[in-house]
Amino acid sequence: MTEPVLTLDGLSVRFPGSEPAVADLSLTVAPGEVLSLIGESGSGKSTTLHAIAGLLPPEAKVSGDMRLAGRDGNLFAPDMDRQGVAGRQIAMIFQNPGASLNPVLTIGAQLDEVVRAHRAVSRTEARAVTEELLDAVGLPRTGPQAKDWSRAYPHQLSGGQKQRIAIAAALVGDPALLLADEPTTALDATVQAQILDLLLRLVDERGIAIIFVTHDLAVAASIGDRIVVLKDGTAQEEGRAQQIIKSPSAAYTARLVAASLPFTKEAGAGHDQMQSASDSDALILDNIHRSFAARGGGRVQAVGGVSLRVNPGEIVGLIGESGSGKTTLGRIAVGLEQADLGRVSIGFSPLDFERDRQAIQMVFQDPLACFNPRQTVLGAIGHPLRCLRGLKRAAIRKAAYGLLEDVGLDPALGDRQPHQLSGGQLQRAAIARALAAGPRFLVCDEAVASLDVSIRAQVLELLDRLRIRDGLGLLFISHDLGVVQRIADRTVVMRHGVEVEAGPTAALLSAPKQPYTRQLLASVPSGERPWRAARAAVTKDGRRPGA
Amino acid sequence: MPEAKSKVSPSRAARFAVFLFQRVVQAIPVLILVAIGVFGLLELAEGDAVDAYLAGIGAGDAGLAAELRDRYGLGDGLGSRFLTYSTRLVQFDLGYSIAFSRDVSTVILERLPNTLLMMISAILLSASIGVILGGIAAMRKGGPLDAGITFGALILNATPGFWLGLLGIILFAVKLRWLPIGGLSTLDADYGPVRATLDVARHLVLPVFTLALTYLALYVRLMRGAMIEVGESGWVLAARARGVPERQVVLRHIGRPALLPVVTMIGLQSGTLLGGSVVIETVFSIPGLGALAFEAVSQRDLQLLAGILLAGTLLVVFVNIIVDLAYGLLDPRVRLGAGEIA
Amino acid sequence: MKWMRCHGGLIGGLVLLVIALIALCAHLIAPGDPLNMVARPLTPPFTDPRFPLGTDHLGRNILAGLVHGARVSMTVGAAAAAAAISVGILVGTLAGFSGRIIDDALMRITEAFQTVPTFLLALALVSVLGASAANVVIAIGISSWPPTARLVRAEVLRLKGADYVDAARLAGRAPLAIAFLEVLPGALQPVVALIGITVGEAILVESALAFLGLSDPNLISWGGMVANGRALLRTAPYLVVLPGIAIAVAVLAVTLSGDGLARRLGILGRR
Repeated sequence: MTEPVLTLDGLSVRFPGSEPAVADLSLTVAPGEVLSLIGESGSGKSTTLHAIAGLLPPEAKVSGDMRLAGRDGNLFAPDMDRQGVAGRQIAMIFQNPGASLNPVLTIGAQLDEVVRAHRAVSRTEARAVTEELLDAVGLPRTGPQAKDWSRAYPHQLSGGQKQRIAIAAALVGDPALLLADEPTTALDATVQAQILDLLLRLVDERGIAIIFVTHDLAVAASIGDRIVVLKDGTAQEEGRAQQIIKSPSAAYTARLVAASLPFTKEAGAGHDQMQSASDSDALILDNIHRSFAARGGGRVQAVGGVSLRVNPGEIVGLIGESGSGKTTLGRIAVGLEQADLGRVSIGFSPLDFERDRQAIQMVFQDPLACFNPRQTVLGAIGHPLRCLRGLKRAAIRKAAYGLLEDVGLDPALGDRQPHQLSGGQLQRAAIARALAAGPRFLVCDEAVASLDVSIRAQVLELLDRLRIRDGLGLLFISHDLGVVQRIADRTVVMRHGVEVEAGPTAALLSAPKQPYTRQLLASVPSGERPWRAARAAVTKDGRRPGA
Repeated sequence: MPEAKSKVSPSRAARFAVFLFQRVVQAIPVLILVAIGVFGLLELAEGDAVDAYLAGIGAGDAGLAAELRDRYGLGDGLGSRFLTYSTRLVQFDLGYSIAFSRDVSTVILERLPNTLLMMISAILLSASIGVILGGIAAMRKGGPLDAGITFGALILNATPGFWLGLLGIILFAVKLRWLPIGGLSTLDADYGPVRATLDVARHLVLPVFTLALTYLALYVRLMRGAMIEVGESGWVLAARARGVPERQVVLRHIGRPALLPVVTMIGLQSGTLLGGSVVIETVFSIPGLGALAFEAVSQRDLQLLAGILLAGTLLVVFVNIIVDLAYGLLDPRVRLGAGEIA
Repeated sequence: MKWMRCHGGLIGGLVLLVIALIALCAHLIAPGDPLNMVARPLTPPFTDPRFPLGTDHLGRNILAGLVHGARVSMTVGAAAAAAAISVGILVGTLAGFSGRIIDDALMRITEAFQTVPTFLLALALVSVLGASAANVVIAIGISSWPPTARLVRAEVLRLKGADYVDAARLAGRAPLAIAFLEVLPGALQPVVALIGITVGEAILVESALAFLGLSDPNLISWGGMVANGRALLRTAPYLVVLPGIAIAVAVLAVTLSGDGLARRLGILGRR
């Protein structure tokens, strides 16, 4: 076995006044190996990466032993000289590609600077290296997609392009190890697939080792050779990626695997509920159009003629990448936004949102943002009870307690301020508030996207239970195919403000008719089909997944 | 990559012209509103300029008063007075100064260069010292140097400008005799051009420093806050991870973006600074616009005061347009028409 | 540094309290009209125990002047700042909640007021309205409301688009309840951070006006005392120095306690 690129022994990180963020963590990475570091929020995975990169703030207490191939001494030792490590031996890319580029400098200036920091070259030579690197990450100066990338500013680029540039900057010093901190989390599925592709190509071509931090088990298993599972700063389990997701040995990993909802070809659709409901009580969106004033004049069409129907007791999944218009459509459905053209109706009567407000409610993506920080949770749940149901004081309290119990929350939590509840608890409370109006339909806009995996499954279960119990119709907006596959009876795929394809979830996801849907499905790392193997297979017949 | 579309972008000069034009057009409603406000102010005054003039020369001839009122359109109703006022404004006629017995615009133009010289020096001085001190404080955040700079800024911020100026006079002009006590040049001196310039510069040291110091605190605090905030941004972390030398991280990745709010503040502050020059010019007997405003007030020359208000506003608008242009150079995100990559 | 961050507000508050007490009890500490001649002119400070800070060129007790001047400076400063902040909140709230046309109009007016040099406007207003304490308050109030208005408007616009406001709309709350109970409390919170600065600024403008002789001639004020001492700059500099220190201490106390208040409410960061 070759010498590992990085050996980490007994790493502990502690911030003043709190529990250790990382406790006694040991790991090794071999050249050309991809190690996935997985955990939920607060598990210490990002802190570990920052400790390795030497980017922790001075107040953090770091202990342990870190060794790099070809370098003597423990890099965590107090007066250890880290000169020549950052960018040359270890490079790093970050979650938010937009934030990792200086907004007031051109791409070229930022890359030239890194080149000149690591190589003794002139300005012109540095620019030549920059162009070369841009070409290597798929932003060529010549050819069909050629642009003068080096003269662009970050705000002129898309998220995927910015992440490519961050990768180019990481490659400058020919590092042996690349630290990737959730580099694809902020990106759309198709773009994520392209970036993962690019990273694996670098591993193959340059023999770079990667520590890939993610919260997504499917991504971790798809890209990683090995996986380390972190919880509360300690390693729960370590092993071959396929082994871990097939037969986890630690109890926590098992829970994580069970709770994660990867998209798979094999899994059937969530439910096959009655589809025989008549038009008279369905939520119908008819030929909805909506456009917004664009910056610098003109208008941008967000939704361009979408029709949709949700039956009572039915869950309709609405899938799309960012900019597909799915959120605007959801806001029009609940009356937060007016349609330019088209109408929203229940049955045959158009909805008058002033009068029929209670009929359709919404659950938002960010549970903390959807509660007024100056009101208690109970107070927030009380508003619809008073304004829409006309209840009085004592009755409001009683009903609110009942609702909290319905969504599986201790009613005592109702008297707390929103920030005193966890994300999962707060999202349950948000569902309780939506239910308080006594709605017949619920629009869930990425309602589980900001939650940890284990909590995500519980909230989905709750929503499913409610629709069965109350016959609620759900419009479930999501970018996550795995989630939609589990919960939705029917699915609609949107892109650029129009419907691409719609149909029963099982049929649509197993046999997509439209090329875009196929591309979307191919982009999702399933975890069960190792990305590297798939890549090798595909490159043989000349195609790439997601390309 | 379907994300970025390419587009033929207009030439730099054309974009610049369009931006300048838009900015000037934007200023018009503001100027009109200020002109209306100034008219309202003149109307508010008890008695008009003629009363003040007659009181000044100590005569009470009703015939003379009527004649004067007729000449300046003061005798008619409110509507026609406003009409006279606005027609004259459009022709850049600011009226006649009773105190100086000359056209208001002539008096103002005579005084304007002195104020401009002082204002621009003070702006540049306070912004640059503020940026440097604020930057140092941010880099030494929590240390004794930071504490000293921050506390010093707090004290300067609380100090009235006129008092600071008088302290300067007591110390540097009366006790140490290093600098002149006031005025803009040595009277009755017959210097050559070089010495004359140096003489003016020597006279300007105290007033410019006083004016700059009173507004220094703002820039120190702003720059310090901006540097700390930018220092926590992702691109600073990323630059460090890429091995960019610390000096460049501080100057290019923290300092440069942190300059943006400072530039904005220069525009916002220009009005306050011009107001502050009233007191400073009075303290140092500098014949500028500010001292002129004080003379206008003490002699109840409202036409002149109104003219100064309008001229001052125009000056502030002008400074703001320049500041906006500078901002556009520093921040590519607001650069007009630069939305697409070539 | 940390010490100042933690205790600056407390110390500022204490000093402010002392100044306020002095202003309230001015007639007890220094009975009689501070404008009366009580001793030999130009007694230097710390020489006569009856007049610890000496007397000016008209034989007036300087300590009495400072004590009574606190009353004018603090009341005018507080009242002017209250006026400016109220106008600012009113305009900002109106602009934030109104439709495009009213919002645009109000913002143009705000811009116009912000473009006119603040002190020139206050000067012009006082000279037109007449030099009285009330008019000084009006002048400062009229010339220094725009920053508050802009802040409030920006906050209202930001919170109008917040998820929790959308949630309140879906909960069926009335538009007025949303405006006043959901949006406004949050939008007004950052105004607290402006209070200290605005009051301090108002005290400084008042003293500058007084220095130029544009305040109530029957009331003694710190700025006016500096102006009186100006002629004797060479012989009796303490006439200028002492009242100036009073102004600086008062403004510093006000700013520090304003900062401390805002920090306590969690509006300012821990920077």
